[in-house]
Amino acid sequence: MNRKIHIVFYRQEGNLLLYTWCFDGASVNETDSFFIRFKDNPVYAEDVQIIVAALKNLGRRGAEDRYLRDEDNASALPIAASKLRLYCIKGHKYCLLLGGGGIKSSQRVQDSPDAYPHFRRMNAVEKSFRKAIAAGDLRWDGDGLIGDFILEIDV
Amino acid sequence: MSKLFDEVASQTPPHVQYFVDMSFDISDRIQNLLEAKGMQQKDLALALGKQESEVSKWLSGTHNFTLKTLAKITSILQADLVKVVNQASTVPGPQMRTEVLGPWDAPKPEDILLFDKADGESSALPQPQTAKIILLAA
Repeated sequence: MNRKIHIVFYRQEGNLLLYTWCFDGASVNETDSFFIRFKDNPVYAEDVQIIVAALKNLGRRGAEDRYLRDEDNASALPIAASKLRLYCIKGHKYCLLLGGGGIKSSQRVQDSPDAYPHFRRMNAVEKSFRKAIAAGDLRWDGDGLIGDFILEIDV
Repeated sequence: MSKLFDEVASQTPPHVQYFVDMSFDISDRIQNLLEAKGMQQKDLALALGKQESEVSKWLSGTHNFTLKTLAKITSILQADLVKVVNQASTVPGPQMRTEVLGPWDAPKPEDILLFDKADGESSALPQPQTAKIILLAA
């Protein structure tokens, strides 16, 4: 099923430009949905804090590949010290498109019912995103993301 | 926009922030040493009898290093990752903080040096971008 999504600017953290996305008609973007779900959960609150602290470090150091975990064609934070995964796509060293995330409860993400839908969505966004870049509808540059911020993803 | 991000950041206890900052500093230090020695992650993994994926975790910026792991990496790379001065044990309740030193800064004698990620180990003068984590006596 194809669904329309909107890419929206999230924040600038140091030198790092962060974007996120939301489904058409949704009132909350995927990244804030992730924070809302876990920030006050006593089991996962510290994991959320680690992710935010890691993003702040990426803002100072740049989003080096080694700071990000490969998740098929997408990426995720953090690599270690947490059961949570926040999915993302790296545009370049100073530009990330964040998505949502969930609890990675198993070795294979396919066996993690909480994280897997977010993994699939982020990879669907990546596929659509890559097509838009190839078609020239979107491009990253030093000032961030430029072009059509509405995409369709197959989820 | 992103008020929740700010809310989480403001609620993050200092020890969590220190943990992540120090883990990033150590991972960058290891990466810099590998590059300076012309080594790759797989070389370090091989020398330590570890999987390359384990070394990838060390370089991720969010790994919770054990002292034993740091000691093993230090022994292979033959350069300090973390330095601790004995004075630490004589100061009750030292306050730990991180500080980035520029080339014009030098650690004070009372500073307890924990970590030095300068690129040039043997350079006489500190280079720009030199960063140090120090443990200061309260």
